[in-house]
Amino acid sequence: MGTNTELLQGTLELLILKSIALGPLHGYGVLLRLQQLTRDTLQIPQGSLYPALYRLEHQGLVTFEWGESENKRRAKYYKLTAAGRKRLREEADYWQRLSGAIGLVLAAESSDL
Amino acid sequence: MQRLAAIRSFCRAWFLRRRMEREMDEEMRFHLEARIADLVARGLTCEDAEYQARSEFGGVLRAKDEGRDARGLRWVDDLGGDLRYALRAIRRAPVFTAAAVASIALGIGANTAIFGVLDLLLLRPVPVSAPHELVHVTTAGDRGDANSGSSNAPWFRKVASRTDLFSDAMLVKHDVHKIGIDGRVEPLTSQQVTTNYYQLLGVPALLGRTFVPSDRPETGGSPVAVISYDLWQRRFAGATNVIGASLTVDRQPYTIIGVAPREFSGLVVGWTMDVTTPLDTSKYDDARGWSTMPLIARVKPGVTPAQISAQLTPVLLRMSEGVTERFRNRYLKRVSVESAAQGLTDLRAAFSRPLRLLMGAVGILLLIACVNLAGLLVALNTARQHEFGLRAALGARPERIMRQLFAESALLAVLGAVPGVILGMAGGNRLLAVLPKFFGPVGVTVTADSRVLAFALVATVATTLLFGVIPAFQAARVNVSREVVRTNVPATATRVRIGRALVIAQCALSVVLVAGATLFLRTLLNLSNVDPGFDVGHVIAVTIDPAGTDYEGERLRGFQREMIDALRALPGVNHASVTTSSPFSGNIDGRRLSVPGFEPRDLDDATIQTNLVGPGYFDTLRLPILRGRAIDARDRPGTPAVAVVSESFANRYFGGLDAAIGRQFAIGRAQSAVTHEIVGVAREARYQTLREPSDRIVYVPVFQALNVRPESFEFVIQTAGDPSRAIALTRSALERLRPDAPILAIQTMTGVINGRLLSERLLAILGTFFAAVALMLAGVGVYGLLAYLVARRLPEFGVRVALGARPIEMMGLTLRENVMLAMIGCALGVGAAFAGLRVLDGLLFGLSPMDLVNLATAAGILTVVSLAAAIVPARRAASVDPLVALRQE
Repeated sequence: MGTNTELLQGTLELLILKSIALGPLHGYGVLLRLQQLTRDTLQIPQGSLYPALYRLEHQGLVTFEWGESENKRRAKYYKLTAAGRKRLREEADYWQRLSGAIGLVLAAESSDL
Repeated sequence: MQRLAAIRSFCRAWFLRRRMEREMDEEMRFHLEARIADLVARGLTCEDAEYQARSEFGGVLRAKDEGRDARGLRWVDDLGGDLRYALRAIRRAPVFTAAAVASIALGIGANTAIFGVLDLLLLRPVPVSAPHELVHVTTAGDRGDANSGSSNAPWFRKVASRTDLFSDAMLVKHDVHKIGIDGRVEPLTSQQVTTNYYQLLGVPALLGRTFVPSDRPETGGSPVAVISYDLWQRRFAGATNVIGASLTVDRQPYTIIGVAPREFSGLVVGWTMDVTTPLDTSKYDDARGWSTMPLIARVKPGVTPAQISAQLTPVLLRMSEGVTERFRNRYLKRVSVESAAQGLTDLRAAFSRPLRLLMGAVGILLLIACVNLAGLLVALNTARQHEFGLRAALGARPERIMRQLFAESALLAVLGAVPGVILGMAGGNRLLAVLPKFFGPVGVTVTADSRVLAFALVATVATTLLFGVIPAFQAARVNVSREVVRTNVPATATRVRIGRALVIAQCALSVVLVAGATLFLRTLLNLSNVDPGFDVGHVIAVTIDPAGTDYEGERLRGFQREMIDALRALPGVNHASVTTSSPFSGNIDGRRLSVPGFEPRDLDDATIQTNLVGPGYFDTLRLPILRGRAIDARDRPGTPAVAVVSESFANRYFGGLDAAIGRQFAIGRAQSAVTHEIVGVAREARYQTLREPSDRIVYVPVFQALNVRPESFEFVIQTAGDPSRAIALTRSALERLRPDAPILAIQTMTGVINGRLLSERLLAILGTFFAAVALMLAGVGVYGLLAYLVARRLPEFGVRVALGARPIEMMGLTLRENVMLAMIGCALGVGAAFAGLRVLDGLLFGLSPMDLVNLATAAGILTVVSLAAAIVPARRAASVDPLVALRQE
């Protein structure tokens, strides 16, 4: 796998929410932005991207409208709803706390005890 | 919010399915093409780029599937598949399907019918604000028989002043009045209410206004009326200028000020109060007079009926000091509080218990149908073991197979429930149609409204769960390797055990229903055989209500004399007379009595029933005079007051029939008492109920009575032939003579008695019907199980026959199984009936709920049915051909 890290279960939705929060994107755009933001260190399961988007849509966290892509083709652009924005804040908070806590544990040395 | 989004997304996916699929397609294709373009731009060849893009993406079909899943569509797709498969499966077993659908239809139909009626009379809240806060404050006597609402104005004011208990209180008096609109007069149900009526109920006027305090007649309010939506549509064609129009109530003019909303027709179940006018409470200011006038109050939160009763009973006792002891003991000893959330109805008191019992019976019936179906499905699914094994081998999980079987059960349930509900509503309306009309014009019907449909839905789901669970669990426990490899699998022992247990349960439940039904049948039979003491077969009673007419005093007596003569002159009429209380009219009156030299033990001992009768009364009813003479034409005004007394009267007060003749006693209280001389003794008769003789009756000449009030009375007529044919003749004679005679009803005495036995008759007829259906289902269950067992053991039987067993022994083998099932079922059923049928106490006549002969009869009937059901399988076992049977192996 080299530097290509696999995604933790359940984090794909959080990443999608965040990438859309920066501006409306179509599905492929989400992939590109995630690759760009992670500097290609994360393996994004492309096939799972769409079911994840539909789940978010089903929960009312994202909505969409049809627009035109950079190469003049019809594409479905996703954007966050108010509920999605709230969920993103909560999830990001949670993630920060969790990773901070895990970081603390991992950084622990015998002198800390 | 989020749930809303999910529903919206699901609906979109469901209704715009094709569009959703197309969009999904387009989106993923766009993704792949964009990726390919990017890769080509990085220098890959077209083929390599496409290959890499596709492999990065993974399975497109799987992604789409997950996409559908994300929108909650998966189960819809699966369900569709399950149902299509289920349809095929039940088509393969048409006989079973027909039996299943029919038994579910019967079960659900019977439940819908009884529930529909029960709901209308007992459960449905009236359409007012916060109906659960409404109570009917009634009074009750020593014996606990609550009156249908005795009250008067002083009592009402006392109750209404208790703001610690009630937020508001009102009086409601309803009756049929003669309503005139545009010169046409018709009798309509109307009510008089205190002016806070609509405000208390929270019912606004649809048009115009409701009453305000200044409408009170006591303070000189002008006569105003609110009419029903029905009347507004019927007589005013829904015109808005109805406000300000006038109508008459018993010839008094009123101005219409408002129209009530469509859904609100008053508080009395089944009555539409067409005209509502303010009640003049000053007419009821006499604290000694108590009228039937329901007192309805809205309770304060947290106040319980027990508190109200405890607080108000002392007040009632103080207030009722002025009335006769008997009346007080009978009706005014304590305050009883009933919920009025479901409105008021006399039908409730009479039919609440029978309806609840019938609901229980149909519940058991549905349970039997479920058990029956479960048993049949277990047997049927045995034949499909191979199929289930194959599916399991192909990767179906047990849950999947169970779901498939559940879909089949649900399909059967729905196929049965739809005709069941339709039949049920028709049956419910049939039942309502036979409820007594004299309780009021029953204008209610069972309709497909949300409550009935919700009940049917719950019943159907419960049915599906009940009969679907066991077979589904059974079938899902497949042994893959065995099922797939072997084609002819003997059923496992558990399967047979379950089948037996289900048949036993059915038998036991059927015994309970049959025992209940026979109890009711015998009760009805016993009551029909009771001799009421007079001739029933040839008598007609004509009920006349002169209230509201000018038939009073001498005019009334003149009318009665004239009518008796006219009726006697009719062809086919033997005798005719008049009475204030013909048998079972419910009008008999209690009066105080004093006998010289007799010291009454208690109040009841000094109270008798009086019946004012005309000459020829005893001949008309063929009520035998045992001593002395009957009341006849000699007993005119001015002659000495005489009386004919009943046997029990003579025995109680004079110690014998002969001793009573010529003796004197007084009727009435103190100074108003009138002394009568006994001229005859009549045979004991049953006046109020067939269940017991009426105690101590005094017959007084109606034409001697001085104080004549326009009370209701009956003409009684004895016909030579069939009395039902004389009804029309009598009516036309009456109308010819007095076109304005207020005839309430003309009935044959047989009809009157049948009406009195209505709840017994309903219980007997419906109970027998339900028991018969239960027996039929039990028979099908026994047949199904035995047929299955015989089919399974055919090879074994073949071997036995080949070894020399005689056919009769093969039959015995099968019947032994059957007898065992029936015996265990009967034993359990008799036990359950013994414990459960105690609830019938008080409804029966001439036998006890635990009557052993009855229980034995029920068990015997079930045994016969199960033996009949066993004949076909047993004969099949007896006629087994060893060669054929062995070849099957």
